[in-house]
Amino acid sequence: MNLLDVRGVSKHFGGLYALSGLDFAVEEGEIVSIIGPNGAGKSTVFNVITGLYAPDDGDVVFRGESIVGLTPNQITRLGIARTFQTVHLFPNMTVLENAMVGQHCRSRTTVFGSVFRTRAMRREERSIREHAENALGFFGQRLAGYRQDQPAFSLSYANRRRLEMARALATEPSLILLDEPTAGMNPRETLELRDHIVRMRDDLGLTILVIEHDMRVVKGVSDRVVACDYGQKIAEGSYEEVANDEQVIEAYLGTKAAG
Amino acid sequence: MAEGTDLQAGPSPATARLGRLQRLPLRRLIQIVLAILIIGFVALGTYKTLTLPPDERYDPSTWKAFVISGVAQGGIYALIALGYTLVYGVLRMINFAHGEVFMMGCFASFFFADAYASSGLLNRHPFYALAIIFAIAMLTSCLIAMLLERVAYRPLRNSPRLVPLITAIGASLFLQNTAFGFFGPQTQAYPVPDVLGGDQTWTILGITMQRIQVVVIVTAILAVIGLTLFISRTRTGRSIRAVAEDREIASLMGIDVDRTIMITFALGGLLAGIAGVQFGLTFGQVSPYIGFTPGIAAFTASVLGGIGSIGGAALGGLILGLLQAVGPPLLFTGFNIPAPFQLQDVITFSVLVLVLIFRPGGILGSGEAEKV
Amino acid sequence: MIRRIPRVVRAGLVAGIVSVYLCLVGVVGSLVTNVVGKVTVGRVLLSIPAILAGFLVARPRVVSGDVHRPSVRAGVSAGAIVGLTTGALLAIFIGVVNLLGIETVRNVFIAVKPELMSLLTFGHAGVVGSVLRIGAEVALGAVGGAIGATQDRIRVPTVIAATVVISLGLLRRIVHPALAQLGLRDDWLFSVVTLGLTWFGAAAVFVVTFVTTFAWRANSAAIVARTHRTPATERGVRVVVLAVIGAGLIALPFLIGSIFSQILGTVGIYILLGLGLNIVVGYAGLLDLGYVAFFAVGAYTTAILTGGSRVTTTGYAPPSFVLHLSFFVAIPIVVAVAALVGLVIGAPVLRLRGDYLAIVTLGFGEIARVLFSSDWLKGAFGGTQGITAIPAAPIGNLDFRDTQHFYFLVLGFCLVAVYISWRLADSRVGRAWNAMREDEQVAEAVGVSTVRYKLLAFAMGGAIGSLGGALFAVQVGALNNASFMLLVSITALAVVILGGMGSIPGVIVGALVLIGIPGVFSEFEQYRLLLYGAVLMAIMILRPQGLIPNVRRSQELEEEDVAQDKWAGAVTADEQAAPVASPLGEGAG
Repeated sequence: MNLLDVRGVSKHFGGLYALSGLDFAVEEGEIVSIIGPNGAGKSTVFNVITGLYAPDDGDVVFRGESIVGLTPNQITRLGIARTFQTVHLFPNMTVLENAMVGQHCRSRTTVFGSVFRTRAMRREERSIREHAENALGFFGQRLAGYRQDQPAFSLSYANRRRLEMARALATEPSLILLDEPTAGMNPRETLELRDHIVRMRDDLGLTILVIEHDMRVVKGVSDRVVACDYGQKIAEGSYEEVANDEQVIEAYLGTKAAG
Repeated sequence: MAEGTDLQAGPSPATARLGRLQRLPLRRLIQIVLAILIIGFVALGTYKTLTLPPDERYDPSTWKAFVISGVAQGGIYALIALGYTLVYGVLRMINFAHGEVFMMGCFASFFFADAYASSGLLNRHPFYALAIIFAIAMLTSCLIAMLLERVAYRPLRNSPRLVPLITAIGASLFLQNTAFGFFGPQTQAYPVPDVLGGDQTWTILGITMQRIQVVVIVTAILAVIGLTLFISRTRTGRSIRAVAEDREIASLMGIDVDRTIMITFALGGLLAGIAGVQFGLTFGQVSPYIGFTPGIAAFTASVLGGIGSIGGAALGGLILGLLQAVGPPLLFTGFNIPAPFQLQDVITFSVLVLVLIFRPGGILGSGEAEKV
Repeated sequence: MIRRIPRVVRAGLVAGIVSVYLCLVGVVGSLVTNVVGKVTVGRVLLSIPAILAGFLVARPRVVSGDVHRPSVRAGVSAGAIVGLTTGALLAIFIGVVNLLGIETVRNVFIAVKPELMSLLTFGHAGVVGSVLRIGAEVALGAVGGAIGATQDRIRVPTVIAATVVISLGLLRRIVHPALAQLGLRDDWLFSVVTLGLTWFGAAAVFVVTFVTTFAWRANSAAIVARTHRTPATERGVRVVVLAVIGAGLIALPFLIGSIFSQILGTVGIYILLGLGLNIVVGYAGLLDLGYVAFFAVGAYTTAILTGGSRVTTTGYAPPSFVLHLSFFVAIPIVVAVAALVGLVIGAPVLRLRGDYLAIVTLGFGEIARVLFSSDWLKGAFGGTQGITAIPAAPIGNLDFRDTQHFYFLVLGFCLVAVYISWRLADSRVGRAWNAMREDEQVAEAVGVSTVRYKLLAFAMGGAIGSLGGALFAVQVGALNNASFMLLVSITALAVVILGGMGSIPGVIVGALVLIGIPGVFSEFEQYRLLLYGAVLMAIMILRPQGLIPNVRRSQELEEEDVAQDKWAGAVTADEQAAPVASPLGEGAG
């Protein structure tokens, strides 16, 4: 059974179709890249999967159940985490707190527990902290030590991206959606991140769906590549197959050299 | 690169299931229930009121009077609502203090009206006197609106939405109590020229109306037409529309954004000044506290019509005026609720809440909140 | 055109306009309590614009990267020019009033009275008065300039000492009886004639404060460095500090007497309202302008549950539903009802954006007031006459009606509310609220149920606010709709904003300042709302994080929108299939 099935999803804004009948699937343990020119509807797919947009048509099935109509927080709880194309942190919370918010959906302390500091609450708080620190620890020393108590807005750009991923990891997902994770990073950071993406699958056992523009990253991480244009799938297969596809080349028109 | 992360691989299946109950679209349900309740209440109230025994029923001429006073009230609301809409269009900000701008205009004109009344000018040359009174009110409101923009709002151009709103609430309180300190707390009688006095009527198209209501309705219509022409035909009007569309791009195109915003406030002030005199003449009184209720009502009107739209503000004002005048007797009398007009504000706020819940874009808006 | 006027003159003009405003609005003439000698509060206020403007123009300025610090002499002369401009405007004002005649002007501006004019002209008619006024303003401006231009080690103690002297002068009504209680003589400090500070007392207090501050600032670092610090001593220090504060809180009502205890009771009620609103606004970022609804619900529910009466034309009558519970039995029910009302108010407005939410909640607050006082519900809530004869809160022989006892009741409730707020802030719940406040949509995407946490914020905020209402019912014993105006919501908001959104100490300080000062200083009552308006504006413009900012919250007001705009940008870029997506177009947060 596929972990995630996107079946004929359409979404339009006014007269503009961002997605029209998009179909693809992700199997457990895969790393799938979505590529396509700007405006191909890639981020819209993410927004539909995570419940930010309701699709006009089609269905999104996760672990055999439709998740259309669920709220984003319910979808996160089911095990889909995401990052955003432009980094979205909680800038005035500390780095550690950002990651701790990720644990929210895996914990259950309520007002009562918080006010009376019950034993269960303290135990859970410790576990939240541990999980958050582990998630931050996934990036080695980058987000460790004194940085954990600094407000998120003080981080460097690359570290903000890392923190956003750590926050997503802290939700203990089975599927993680990464929206252009290497955008704005320098070549060294990009290489490092490529390893991290592979390790997310190999060490943490996650399934990964990634939107990426940098073809070296796409080539380096993908088990399968889905190419989109005008909200439709135009090619699918291994990196080589897709990279040599007529339609894909046409869609990119000359940018192929970059890949 | 440190190794040894021991995150669990995925959640346990138990937490990854949602119960049937969690899948309910709660918001939709609330909306539907609310809609049914309200339609039911309105229908029942109307039915009960209209089927009252004849001696308890309002007669048709009373209903006609309600409608006409509603239209006149709506004219005043429309003019104030235009101020909200203009500012909202340009700054995406609720200028909560706009009601006080209106009040200040009314107050300033009151002192001139009072002086003319005691010197007899008001009754000898009512036309000239009224022209001056209108001019004074417009000038004052305009200056106050511009001052408000310069002192309170301009420093906050790039702040988050709530900051200018809180400032505007502060400004509202500040202006209200400035009027209190300047002019005293008492309610004073706004002089009305005899030609427009309470029992003087004109009959237009077979409908007999109080003259003052005619004046209010006519000035309101003229002001709306004038504003529409100004916005659509003049260079400054084009700048205002450009700034409303996208402030940054407009400034790149060589538009002086600060000046344009200032002009927008000035326009809102001018209209509020007109409304101030209309209010004074209609209700014959002025006090530091007259700004709040019409202010909120006018804001409701602009939301009702579709905030940011000039036609919407005018339409919203008209509808709200009618609802306020006709709503309480129509809905509440049938339920034997004593003193239905006490609940006028309840109608205003209910309209506001309901519009925002069901059609945040307003009547003439897109039907979708621009960004919730 | 305005920019071409020299900075110094512009500052003077602003100060002049503010001075004239203060005269016209009435604060100069009608605040007649003496601060020092025969210098009234009004006079002090009138002198502030010139001093402040002089101070500001003389402050060091950064000119193209270099700090430009004027000499004291330059500061004095700049201040003098400021004062001259201010004085000129005031002289014009005096001239205009004299020309038109005080009576004529007074027909419009009721504050223009002979007393005001004689205060402005030092009792001299004609040109002499105007010249004296100009001279005074020049002197004030020069003083401000001198203070502004001196070095920090002199300037800071001067400002602090001056503030202490003025505060002490204002607080005579509290300090004098307290000193008397302690058996201390204070006739050297407070004049028995003017009821202000004596000049000797003022000078003594000034010198002592100045010297202390000066010495502390010069040596504090050395002293702190020399003290041997261990965790044990730190804990000891903390215990001592808490003990002192505790003892002070217990002794306070007996020191200040019953009238001021009542004011403290009111301050406490507003601390409760502030703490509740702080959860909604400060923690969760939802601007609720209808907070008075919870205050009203708390008060009316308490009144009905404990057995208040309606006033009718024929005398007292019980409301249509009434119980006779003890106050302390009723409280849990009151809290539950308020929380429920929070849910009911919160549910329909969940999807509204911040500013619409504010106006809609304002509407709910007004609806609540209108309904409580309407003839329609007169049977239940007594209409405009309201409910009266609300029983006190008895435990044994104590009924907490006496203001000094009531203080302890309020204190207890406040401590509970502070504890709850504090615990919630640092918990899973608090983090979820914070995340929601910083970016609602992202919080949702990270797994926070924003629907649930918004409702929870309304319910919690409402529950704490209702405690304030319940205490209010006990304090006044009678309720009517005049107590539940929009003003209560705005006051609570001002309390939260002044101290700093999200900050618990901020709420306490905010309530002490905004409720305490007008309470103690009764002639100020009529300008209370003017003050609130000014505070709301000034804080938002000058210091949006508040006086005692919550550390984390401090940056956010500036950052939040940036983040939200980015979000909007990201969404629109996606929606409109923008041809160029910028990979680096964000310095997010």
